[in-house]
Amino acid sequence: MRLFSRANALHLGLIALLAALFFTLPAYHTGNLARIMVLAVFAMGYNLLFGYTGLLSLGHALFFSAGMYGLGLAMHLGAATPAPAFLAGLIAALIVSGVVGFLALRTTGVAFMIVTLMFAQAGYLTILYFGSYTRGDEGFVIQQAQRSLLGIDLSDDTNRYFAALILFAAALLVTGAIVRSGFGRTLVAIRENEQRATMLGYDVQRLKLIAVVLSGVLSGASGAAYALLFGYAGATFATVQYSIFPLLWVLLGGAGTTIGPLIGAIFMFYLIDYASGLTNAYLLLVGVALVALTLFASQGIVGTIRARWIRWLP
Amino acid sequence: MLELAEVTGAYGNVKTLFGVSFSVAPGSVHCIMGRNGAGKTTTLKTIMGLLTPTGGTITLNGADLGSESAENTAKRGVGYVPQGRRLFAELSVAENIQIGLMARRSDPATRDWVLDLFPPLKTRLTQRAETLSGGEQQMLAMARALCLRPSVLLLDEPTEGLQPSMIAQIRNVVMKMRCDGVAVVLVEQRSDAVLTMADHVTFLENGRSVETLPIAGLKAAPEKLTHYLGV
Repeated sequence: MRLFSRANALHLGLIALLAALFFTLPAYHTGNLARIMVLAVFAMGYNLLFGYTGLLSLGHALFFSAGMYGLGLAMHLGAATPAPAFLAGLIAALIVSGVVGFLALRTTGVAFMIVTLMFAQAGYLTILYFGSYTRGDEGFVIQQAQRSLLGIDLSDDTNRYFAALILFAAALLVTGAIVRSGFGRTLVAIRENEQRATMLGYDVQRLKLIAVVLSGVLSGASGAAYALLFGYAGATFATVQYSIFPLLWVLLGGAGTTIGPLIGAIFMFYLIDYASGLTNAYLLLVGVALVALTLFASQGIVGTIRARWIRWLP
Repeated sequence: MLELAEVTGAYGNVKTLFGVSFSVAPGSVHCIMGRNGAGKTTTLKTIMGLLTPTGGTITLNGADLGSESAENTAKRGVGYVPQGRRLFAELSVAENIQIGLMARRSDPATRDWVLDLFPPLKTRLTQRAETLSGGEQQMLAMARALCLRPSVLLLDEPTEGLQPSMIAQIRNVVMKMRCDGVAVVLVEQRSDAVLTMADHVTFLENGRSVETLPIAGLKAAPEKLTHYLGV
């Protein structure tokens, strides 16, 4: 019980800190943080599958873009308002992740990685193929006038920041509750020893499929929110790069930790931001930093802190 | 009653079992002995459904078990404690037990019953499983399997690498299961442990059961241990 209260206190404290940062940081950084919080939800979705269930997917860009295009097309072509469009994004991600999970979970290990990668590539090509609707590579803008929820203009910096924070807070509390539940502990058991979980009578395939769908819906929520808050949907978000990003964020922050995805996303975002200000060869600096971190903190930032100093970190 | 009749099996194209037969009645301990590579662990895995038999029959109370998956075999009441324990290392002792309880939606009374069987675990509930001693890990592996309230318990070398006091605790639990009507199938290398726990012994050689005899018969003819095991 004590562990639970400490974990909840940490989560609530983090949410409060992020709210307070809006009033203390310059506009440039609050703009960055709004984007990072939305992308951290993507990373949290990825973490649920990779960090807790032990399934390494290379196709999460598909789930992110399913949410993004589910909302985007509903608003762009169907003139839907934000709330039903967001729901459309979630449903699109749910359906896509359900189908992909059902088929991809017939494989394991490297084959699972390849199959998810192929599905994501197929999704990317589908977006390009139906360019007359999706505007292909170019993408499309969601008009500012459409991005108003209950009279609140989500293109406004303040509103956007707190909308991103609300989404992040909801995702953090929900994933925190999931991973501490019996279901979440069972996912960890599957990650630790899948055969042993099977021998106890668990329907491991069904549990893994639920994990894929939950992960996909969280990723889709992030994609839908990204399109809504930043007013743009494009095929770039369906490329393999956006399948690699959440993996990196989770690895850097700490796989199997609840706040690791946010820390990893912040670290990566500002590492690129800072390095690109120093040199055009900033990717080299980023690469060196990532290799160093991997060598000296192989469990990621939060994972290493938990392993060495604060064992109760969720 | 667990019954194996002329069970054959293979790892892929490599045949490993060439005809294993024995039966285990409720409330009895049946030990499988044999040299390394004789097929002891393979037999347990085949009963559990981790390997599909290529021939013969495995039945539990008359119903076919040979074609069941491991998941369904567990649901039919077969608990398995594999060699090497295979705990959920990053989960705590309490969580490992909880995972076992949830698998069969067992009630809190089962948790208390299991912890009463293994009192040392009561003081380790919040400790991560990977930090337990070897003996405590073995207790936890057995405790988790017993959360299923199995009617058949498969134990693969439960005393391997344990100190005498731990072996005594494991033996006590096996005897208690036997008294509670559980059919225990035990793979064991230590002849002293076998002689104090088992009711019957089946010797395997090269994937085939070559002789089954009551423990009294083995005590009367200890040279069989030398013959089959080389000890």
